[in-house]
Amino acid sequence: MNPAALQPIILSTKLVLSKWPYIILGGVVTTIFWIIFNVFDQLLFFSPVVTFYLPDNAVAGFIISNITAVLAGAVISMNLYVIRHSKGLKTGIVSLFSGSSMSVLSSTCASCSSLGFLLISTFGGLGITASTFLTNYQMPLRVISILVLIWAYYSISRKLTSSCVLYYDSSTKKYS
Amino acid sequence: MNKTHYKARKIKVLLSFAAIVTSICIGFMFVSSFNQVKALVKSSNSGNNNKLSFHDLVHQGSPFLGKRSAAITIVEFGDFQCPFCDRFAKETEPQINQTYIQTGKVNMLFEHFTIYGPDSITAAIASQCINEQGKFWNFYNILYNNQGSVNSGWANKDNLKKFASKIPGLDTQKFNSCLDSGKYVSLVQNDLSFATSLGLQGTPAFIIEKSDGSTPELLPGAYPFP
Repeated sequence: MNPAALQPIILSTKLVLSKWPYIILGGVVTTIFWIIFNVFDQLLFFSPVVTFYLPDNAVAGFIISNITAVLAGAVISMNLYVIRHSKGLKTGIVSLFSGSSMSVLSSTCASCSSLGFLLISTFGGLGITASTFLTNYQMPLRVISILVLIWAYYSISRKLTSSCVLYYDSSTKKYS
Repeated sequence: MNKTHYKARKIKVLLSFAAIVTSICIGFMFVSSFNQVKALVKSSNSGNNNKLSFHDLVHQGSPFLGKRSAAITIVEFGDFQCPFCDRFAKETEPQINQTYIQTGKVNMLFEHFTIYGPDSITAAIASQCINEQGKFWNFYNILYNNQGSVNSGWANKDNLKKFASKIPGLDTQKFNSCLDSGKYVSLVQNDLSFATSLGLQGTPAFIIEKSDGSTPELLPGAYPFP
């Protein structure tokens, strides 16, 4: 990968992570997503006692959900930074939404969870088809959601850093 | 300037919306779990708890593991296509079996909660046919060891017959004719209705109770061994 392409990411990450409120916000969002993913994955239970366990067959999914949670936290934190500090810049809301919602949806073993049950009992055959699709293609969907979140992170980083660049027009000898 | 403000406000609204949706999702998870417990307690208090008793469920044809005299009963509501049921069968069930069932403290029942679709129903019917010959738990392990993609046909009749043929001492002819006749279709349907009437909303779900069906406690999910 071209190191220059990483420059905006490094710069923007440094910029946002230099401020405590955004670190805390990112941490909170990451924690919320982490809890949602692990409850859906039936690795984390709150009753009768708080329990967490990681069987061998769940390790891959756990790693993917951790990456997604951290990325979602970082992207949301960065978007809020942009909203507050960079007037006139567009945020990566669409990619953020599609990435995080896809990751939440795909992290659900649709048919096992109450969400899947709701889907099936409400939409019948169509619900079965939808939950079957989500269950069978859970891993690829989760990987796609990570890619979408990486794209959201990259694009918001570029926007955040490119706004600081001055272009010099040699013909008019002026910066724009 | 106004345009920028408008955009910022729009984004704030969207983010607020996302926060609300997230809160609703978390709330839904807790409320649905609470409702399941509530339905069970209601069922228990209304004097219907005998419908959960070990004796009644066995009488209705539910497969069981352990001694009839055990004081505590675990009722598993499962689906042979459910990955979390598979996880329970491989990770937790062997430990429960060794620690509590083999020692006579607990017995365990299986109820079919076939929420996945066609393959779940065929597998459930086949398992009941096997249960006629007292080999349900062998088949239970074979099915989870061979679990395929949901509704891909991995549990069609031909495959189920192949799986059954791996069980030593099974009368395969009897099994095949039972499966072909669809003898246990209504039992599997009744199990599904029963689970739904208890307010269960996902697989696996477990009810831990005294063997007479009193003091039921619900554990929704593939819990680890304590």
